[in-house]
Amino acid sequence: MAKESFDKEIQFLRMLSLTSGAYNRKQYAERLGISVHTFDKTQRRLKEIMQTVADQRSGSEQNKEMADLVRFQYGESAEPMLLFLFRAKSMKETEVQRLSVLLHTLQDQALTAMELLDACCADLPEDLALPDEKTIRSDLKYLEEVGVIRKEPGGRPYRYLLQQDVLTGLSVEEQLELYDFVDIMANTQVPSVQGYLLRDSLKKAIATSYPQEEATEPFIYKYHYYSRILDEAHLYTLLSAIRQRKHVQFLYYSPKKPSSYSSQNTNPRFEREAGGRSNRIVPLEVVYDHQYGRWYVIGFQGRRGFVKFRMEGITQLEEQDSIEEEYMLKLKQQWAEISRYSWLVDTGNTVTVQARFFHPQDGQRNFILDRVRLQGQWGTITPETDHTFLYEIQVNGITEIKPWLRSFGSSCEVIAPQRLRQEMIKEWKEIAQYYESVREDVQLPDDDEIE
Amino acid sequence: MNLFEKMFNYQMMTRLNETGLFTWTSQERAWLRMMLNHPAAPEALHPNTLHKMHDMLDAEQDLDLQDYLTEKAKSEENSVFHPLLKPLRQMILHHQGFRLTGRVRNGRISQDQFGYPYKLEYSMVKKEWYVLWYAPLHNKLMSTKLHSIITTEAQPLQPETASQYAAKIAILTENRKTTVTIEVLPEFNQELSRILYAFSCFEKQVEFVEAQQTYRIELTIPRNEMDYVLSKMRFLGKRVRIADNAALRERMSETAAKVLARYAETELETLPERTSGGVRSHPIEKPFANADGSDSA
Repeated sequence: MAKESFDKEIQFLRMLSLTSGAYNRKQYAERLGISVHTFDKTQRRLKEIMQTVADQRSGSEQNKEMADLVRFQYGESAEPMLLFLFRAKSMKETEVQRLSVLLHTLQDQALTAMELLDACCADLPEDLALPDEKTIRSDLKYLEEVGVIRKEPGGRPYRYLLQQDVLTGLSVEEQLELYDFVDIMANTQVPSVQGYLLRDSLKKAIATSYPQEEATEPFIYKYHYYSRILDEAHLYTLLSAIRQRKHVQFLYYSPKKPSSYSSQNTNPRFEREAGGRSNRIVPLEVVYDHQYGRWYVIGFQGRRGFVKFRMEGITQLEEQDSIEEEYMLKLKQQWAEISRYSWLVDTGNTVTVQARFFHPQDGQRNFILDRVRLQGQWGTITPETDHTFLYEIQVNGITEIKPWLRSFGSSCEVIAPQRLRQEMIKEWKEIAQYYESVREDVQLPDDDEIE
Repeated sequence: MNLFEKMFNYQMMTRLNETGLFTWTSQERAWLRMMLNHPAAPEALHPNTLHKMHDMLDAEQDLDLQDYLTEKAKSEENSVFHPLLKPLRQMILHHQGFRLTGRVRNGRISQDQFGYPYKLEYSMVKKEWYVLWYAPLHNKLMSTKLHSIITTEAQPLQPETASQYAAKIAILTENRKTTVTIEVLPEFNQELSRILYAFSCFEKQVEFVEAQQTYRIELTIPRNEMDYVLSKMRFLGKRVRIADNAALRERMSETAAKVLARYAETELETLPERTSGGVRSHPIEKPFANADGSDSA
């Protein structure tokens, strides 16, 4: 598999979707570490794929810029445009032809390899070289491996049939019900790529019974992190390495300079790292961060101890030799212990954070309490006065919880630790300065009524 | 499990679509099997459908991701499904209107309102389902939490009426959109990736002013989502500032003032009373009965 090409495309798409419009092609190429020529070529290729996929949906995307094509359009549909990364694998035209003829032939009946060979010979366009038995057998093997077809019970010669129980076994209403379920789960749970792929196929399958657009786009989701599906490209390699206890090696490009989130005292060298560095680790766990929509891999790396890498920076990922079960188990237990109180992945010293939250004005629903309940992880809530409550949580380090506490504005007052309290005051002073010049009497535009 | 399988290739897909051929791989089945174990499955699927699905997928591989994959900072998820989704979804599918009775703010009940539902929206932040609908009587777009609905009943509509409503909805949706420009302070450019991830859930356009090495992020949002943007701004703190919107700048400024007053007040309270009867007699700035916290994030 041309792994490098996907690595490049992932980085390419991520950059386009996150920074859409910020750079010209020369700047993009520079930042991606590729030539302008390669940039143009990649862009052409992705655009072509995009249009092939998108044309079936709308037919009017011809003149859009690449950046517009990958831009997140909220409100219109739950269609994950970045999904096409996973559709981009290069294939020979002959193979595409052959595999699709095989599948089409199997659509209505179970057939043997020899019968399929005949069908192929009859159905393939004349200008293509005819396949031999060996090729057909290996195609069937592939299709069986990915689970698209299966052998009928019984002896040789085997008859193959298409796996399509979900269409044949479910009524039209049930198919729609399943489509809705898949749509909801793919959009609200991780991982989601397989769900999106399935959603795509089901969408086409139900279109014959429900041609109207409302059949397939009734749901929208706000505000979810759309680019997270790009990192799922590495997810299964890493999960399988963890499951099979294998070392992995990869080249890591730190997303600019690692922020204080990625790693702290356990890994001081990593903080100074510039990027593009080769790493070999014992992978232990993959962490998905709902706060930013980012993925991390946690590993152990000899002298450096436990290390954390953001998945967005990983390229050229390779599985390597295996690790002893006992050793791996020990590392996993250690990591579980160390990260027990990590708000995300911080493994700094455990501190007790205490904050006072203020209820909203009288008569309003207590959305502050609701939000603390919803997002406060393992922290505890104690009622204090008629208009306040206390929130207490043990966390590793204060860096990761700080943004969350800050997002409550004046509805939250940090009480302990003193250092966090002081930092909070300092930051709010700085923020106040940014807006010092604002003193005009302004009003927010009238909102549309909600609820 | 390789997500770059040939089977997912776009050319394959195009070719298979020509005849409406349905294929599903064992990967997709394994994923679905995992999702069927989620508590939402029995709520979302009819027992018969669920039973059939379990039967079909029984032989599939078990993904067991929970042993290797941890989700952090996740909002507690009460339910990703709501029983009203099904009937409302049917109304949307068949272009029907509805009559709705529900709880509104302050415990009031709104009786029997007529509306035209057009989307079901899930908030990843609040973990709640909403129905978006058009109220022809007031020519307004509405959004109602499914949890606040007491009853809802489908109302047949003439196709012309439904398409008139759809046109109105498109216009109103466009009209309520607004933009906010946010500037990344250049000294935090090295954290750009994180900042952009945080804003990746919005429709946006980024501009890079090379001379000043400044990134400006222009968000396009419905006007009633301003509070959520503000909460994101507070989340990111001093790394970013609102560049263009006077009203929002004022709100941020106000928040900062209130927070600082809040801290100043408790600092004062904890001071030992050195001046007899003095501390309390100073006019302490009256702190904001109106907590700025907004229903967001």
